[in-house]
Amino acid sequence: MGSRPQFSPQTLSVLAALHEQPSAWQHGYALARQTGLKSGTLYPILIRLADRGLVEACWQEEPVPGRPRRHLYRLTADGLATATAAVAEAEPARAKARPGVSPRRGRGIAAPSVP
Amino acid sequence: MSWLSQAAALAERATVGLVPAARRDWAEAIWAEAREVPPGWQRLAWRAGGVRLIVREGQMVRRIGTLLLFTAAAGAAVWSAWPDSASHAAMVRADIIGAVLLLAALPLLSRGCSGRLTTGWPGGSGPAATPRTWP
Repeated sequence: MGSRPQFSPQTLSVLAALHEQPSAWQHGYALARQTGLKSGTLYPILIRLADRGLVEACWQEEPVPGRPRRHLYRLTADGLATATAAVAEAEPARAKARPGVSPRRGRGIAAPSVP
Repeated sequence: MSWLSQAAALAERATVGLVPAARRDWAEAIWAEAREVPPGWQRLAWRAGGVRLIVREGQMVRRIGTLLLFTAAAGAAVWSAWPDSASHAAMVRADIIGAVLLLAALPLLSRGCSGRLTTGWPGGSGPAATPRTWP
């Protein structure tokens, strides 16, 4: 116990995107734009994160008239702790790999280097 | 709403039913979000991702593979055992058809007796039985 899971670069980018506004509920499309991930990649990641209790999801309570309700996502307390640690761990590798590039614009955070 | 949009909405609703109950919210979510994506290629790509999600979460590849395998095996068995012109050909044919039907129904019967083993069939639910593929 106690060992944090190793996340893929794509999962890290989702965690980082959610971590930027930890208390705010975010839409799937906004996350896709932030991370640069396609829906077929983003949603399986969100599903696994939710299964692990790192992300919570809910339906929008007051949808825009004429449009379907949207699904919203944010980090749980566990998710916030995990994301904070994972982002901090990935930060040096990311900064080294892409100096001057904001994580929001990149296609994800580079995976931590494995010895 | 154009007829194309209506057809897409109908298809979306139909595909949600292919996903195990525990995952239906996610399938609905991806379809609902598609309406927020700018129309054109972007929306099409988003919907393609939705199809991918449903195929993956609904274990469609496995289900289609199992179905094809069973069909091929049943076809081969029938082809090899089908009588040409025996005196009691009708009985033999009935036996063969009965055996194939029994084999086809066996998974359903065993599930009814011993409980659900997997959630790969429509209406199945429970993330516990879903393959744990950490992305």
